[in-house]
Amino acid sequence: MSWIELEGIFSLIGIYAILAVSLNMICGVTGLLQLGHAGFFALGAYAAGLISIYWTIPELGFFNLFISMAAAMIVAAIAAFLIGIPCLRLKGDYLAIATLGFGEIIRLSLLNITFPGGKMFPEEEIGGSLGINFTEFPEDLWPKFPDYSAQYASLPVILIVLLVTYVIMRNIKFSSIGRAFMCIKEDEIAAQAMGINISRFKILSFMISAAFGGLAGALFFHKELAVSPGSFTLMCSIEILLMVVLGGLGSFTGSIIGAVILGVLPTVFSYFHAGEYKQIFYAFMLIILIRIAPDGILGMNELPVFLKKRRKTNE
Amino acid sequence: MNEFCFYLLTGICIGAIYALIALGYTLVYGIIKLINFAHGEFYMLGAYAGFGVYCMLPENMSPWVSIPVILLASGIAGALIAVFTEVIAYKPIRKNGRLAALLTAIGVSFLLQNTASFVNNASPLQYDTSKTGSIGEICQHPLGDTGIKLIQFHFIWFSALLTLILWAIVKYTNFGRAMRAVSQDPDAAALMGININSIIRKTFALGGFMAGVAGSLIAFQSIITPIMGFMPGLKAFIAAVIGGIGSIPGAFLGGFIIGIIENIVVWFGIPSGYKDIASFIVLILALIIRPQGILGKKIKEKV
Repeated sequence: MSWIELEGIFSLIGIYAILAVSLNMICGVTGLLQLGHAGFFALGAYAAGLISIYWTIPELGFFNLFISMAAAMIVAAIAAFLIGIPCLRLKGDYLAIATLGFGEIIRLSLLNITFPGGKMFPEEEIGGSLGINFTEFPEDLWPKFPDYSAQYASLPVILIVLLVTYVIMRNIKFSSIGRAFMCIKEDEIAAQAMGINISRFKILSFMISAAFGGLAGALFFHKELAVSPGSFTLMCSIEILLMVVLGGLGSFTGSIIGAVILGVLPTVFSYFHAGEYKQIFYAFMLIILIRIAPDGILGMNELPVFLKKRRKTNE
Repeated sequence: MNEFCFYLLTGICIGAIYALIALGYTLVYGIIKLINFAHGEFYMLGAYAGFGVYCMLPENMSPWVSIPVILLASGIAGALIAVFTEVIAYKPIRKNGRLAALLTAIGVSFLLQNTASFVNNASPLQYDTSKTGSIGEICQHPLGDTGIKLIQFHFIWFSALLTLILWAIVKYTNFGRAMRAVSQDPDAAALMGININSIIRKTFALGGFMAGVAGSLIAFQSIITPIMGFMPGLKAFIAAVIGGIGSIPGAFLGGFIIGIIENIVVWFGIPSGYKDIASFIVLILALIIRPQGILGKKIKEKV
């Protein structure tokens, strides 16, 4: 296996790890089942793509990536705020269905909307089922456009962003805000009695989760330099959720472990020429996992705590 | 025939199918409080089973004999799969809480979908329409100048009939009485000597039967694909919610409402690509304005 292939696989694992960590914020820590995370992923990717087309500043070079990431986070967070106001009044299963609905609404909208091509594609429309695609440029046109290879999200960039995301999320989890989230998960009525403004904290959690989902989207766009609505189906949301459940609801290190395991699996399957069984295996795994290990690998604990606890029980 | 009537009629016809699926949702949710995501897959597998039986039947059989045979077979297939799913997947995790149940249901849904995609390599199947007198030809026959197909019109009365039968079962038989008892209070029902597991299995069978029949009906005028169950499944769930989950007339009504709304929006000039969005918006509006549904009863939360 060549280095480029390996880099591709691990970049994707990194992006999925960010997605899983961000989804864990709302699903694991706050205890609200979210089935539309791919929607925020898509919004982030599209925001990054459009920003790159309309407002790339050639002088900034690599730092355009940060503009894209910030824009993606803001767009996803605003969308989460707007979706959260009506949705978060719902509970349990209904919330799951409503978020699933919004995920599909975002995907279907992106499938049907076209954007003006801007400077890059004059007199052309982008979007629709083909999405935004930077890879199909005629070679001789390249010099006219800003150098997109400068803002390529390479593996080290993705891993650094993952690390930053993890640190931020972990600190939120152990701050007073995080304790409020966990309180809402345990018992909403008790949380309310303790003076926690439930709807405000739910929306906050939803927005944090969506913002980092959007961030992952921006990285995805800058890695692939192409994005289409077909990548953001419900299966994508389910895959992210599976990573979270596998690692343990509420454990961010667990989500990263889950993302690594599920990210390596497709390569293993294609090695054995069994690619068509991948999805069946995923579905089976979800069913079996819920039955035999509902807490996932790490449960609610972060990795260091988990190891310490194990050492104690062994002694 | 003006355009408005066409969209309205199409909506009513597809609404009848949603109503049939929604009945299963409402029954299962009413009894074990589980959103059975796999319910749309029972519908899809019903269509496949019906097609399988059609391939086995002698070719020169009259459609008026073979259509009921196919419908019955697909209904039974749906019921069997539903019971099988309940016993294998849902029963062991019934005590593990709502999240576990919901995730399992999603897993089962994807499992069935991907298993079905091995049939004919996931390429769509279709009833043969070329020969005169064959099922495909008869069902696809246009109904006057309305622009809809003959079979679509039959959806309406057939769905109403099945709903009526189901309603009578739930209202007047001992099984129905036991079912209502379990949905009100499972523990008390068990103390009264009701075998809860058997009642839940039978409920799944009833819901699966309805879904299987609906799948076969839609297959007569459309194509059969592994993913055909997903969207109708979600829409039927929405129908069950807006009708009032747990209520049979509510599910029936909700099915028609969803079917009509998603077709009427096309008439209002919204591109048909956004059709699926309409029902999700209806769900969210319904949950905010009247969370217990049109015919549902409001339940106060106890601390």
